[in-house]
Amino acid sequence: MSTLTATLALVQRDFMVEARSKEIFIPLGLFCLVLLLLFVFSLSPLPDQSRQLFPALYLTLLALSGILALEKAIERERRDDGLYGIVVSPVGLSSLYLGKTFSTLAFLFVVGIVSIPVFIAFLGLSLSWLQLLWIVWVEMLFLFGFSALGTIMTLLSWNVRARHVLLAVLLYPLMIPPLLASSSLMRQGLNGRFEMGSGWGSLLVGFDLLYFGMGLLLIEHVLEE
Amino acid sequence: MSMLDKMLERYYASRLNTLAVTAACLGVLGGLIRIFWFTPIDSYQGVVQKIFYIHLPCAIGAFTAFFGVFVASIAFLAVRKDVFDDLASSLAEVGVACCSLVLITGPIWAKPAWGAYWTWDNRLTTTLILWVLYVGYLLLRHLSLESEQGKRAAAVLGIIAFLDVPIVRMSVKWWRSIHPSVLSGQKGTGLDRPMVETLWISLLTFLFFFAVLLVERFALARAKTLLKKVRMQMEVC
Repeated sequence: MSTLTATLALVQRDFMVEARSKEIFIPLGLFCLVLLLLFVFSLSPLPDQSRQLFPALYLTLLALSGILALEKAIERERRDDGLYGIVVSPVGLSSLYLGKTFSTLAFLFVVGIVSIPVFIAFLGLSLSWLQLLWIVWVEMLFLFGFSALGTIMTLLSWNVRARHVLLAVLLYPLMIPPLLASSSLMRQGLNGRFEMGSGWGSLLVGFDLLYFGMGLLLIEHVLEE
Repeated sequence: MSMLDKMLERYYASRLNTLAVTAACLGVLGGLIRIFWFTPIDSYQGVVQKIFYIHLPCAIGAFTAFFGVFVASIAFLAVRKDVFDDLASSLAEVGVACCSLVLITGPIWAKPAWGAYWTWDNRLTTTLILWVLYVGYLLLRHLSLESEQGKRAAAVLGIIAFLDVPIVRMSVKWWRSIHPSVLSGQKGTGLDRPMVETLWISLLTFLFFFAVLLVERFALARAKTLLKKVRMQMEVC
């Protein structure tokens, strides 16, 4: 079985399980909505502040929901001994990593896309199609790095006590540079500048590739037994 | 028993450790006397600038220790010998201690120099992130109960966490920062000759102190690991 076929099979399996259980999409969407309400009520931003606030708020909410998605996906595997089944199957560990990364990316990406209209409505933003496309593009780059690093970190803290707290403590500090870069790129887009060649663009892509490469390289050491 | 264990055994048998610990403590004491009594006061910042002679060696100590964790983690994953895991954990503890000192001395210096204990400057923020990461690393080691899987997880994290060190180092160059870039590679440090001499003395004494601290911590970790092995062998028998 080639790596690509195995990866696609794992992504498809995750989607099928999610379609049956509905454990990630709906709770995650609701969690995002509740957090947005909390933030909007506590900050009460003025219309001109909303535009400045949107990138940081949007990405922070995605990162907070993302950790829930990661934990939920692994919790499911733990409950059904699914991970053990995959590890002993002919599917390689790199395929397992790729499959988990891409399914998490897909789940979070959909939640992110669905949340955009809610953000626009609650914050009273008016965005052009180009700006919307830019936000979606930057969101995808941010979530790619998040899923790549998040998957390896979740598997890393698999058998550790207090793993929920530890995952947040380890994952968020490492996600600050990509978060900073994504937030700046989104802000630039909202001000009409769509440049990926800037320092922030390179930083974001650089971190994405670094985390993805590290994950692929280190997965065999993480899931040895 | 590894070569490092044999070296440690000889080091302790010849009582060199007592000599090293005494020399390290006296060195730091001498360095502090030199800093506070025999180094001119900075004409611009006043007496508070003297904290620089402690702040910089601690920062160098922290970065060196974290680099050591990175190398030891790679070595552990490559050859799977406990000695590298013990070395990584000892280096991480010394690194966190040094980084904590950096985060304590920095704000003390910042208050009179910048008017605030803390600013969300890139260098300061990335250093705080670095500290959180390595405290997380120690927490992971503690919570994984020294299992084989925990050791591997710690090694993987030791490699990934090191990614933040170049960011801290380069943050002054990449982003606008109010933090001075002391080791910028440019000619001259802007310090008078006696100040440069004090800086070198302080660097040597503090780094020697950290090295002795590392050896002591590493010896303790090795003793613990060897004892665990003996206990396991006895249980098998």
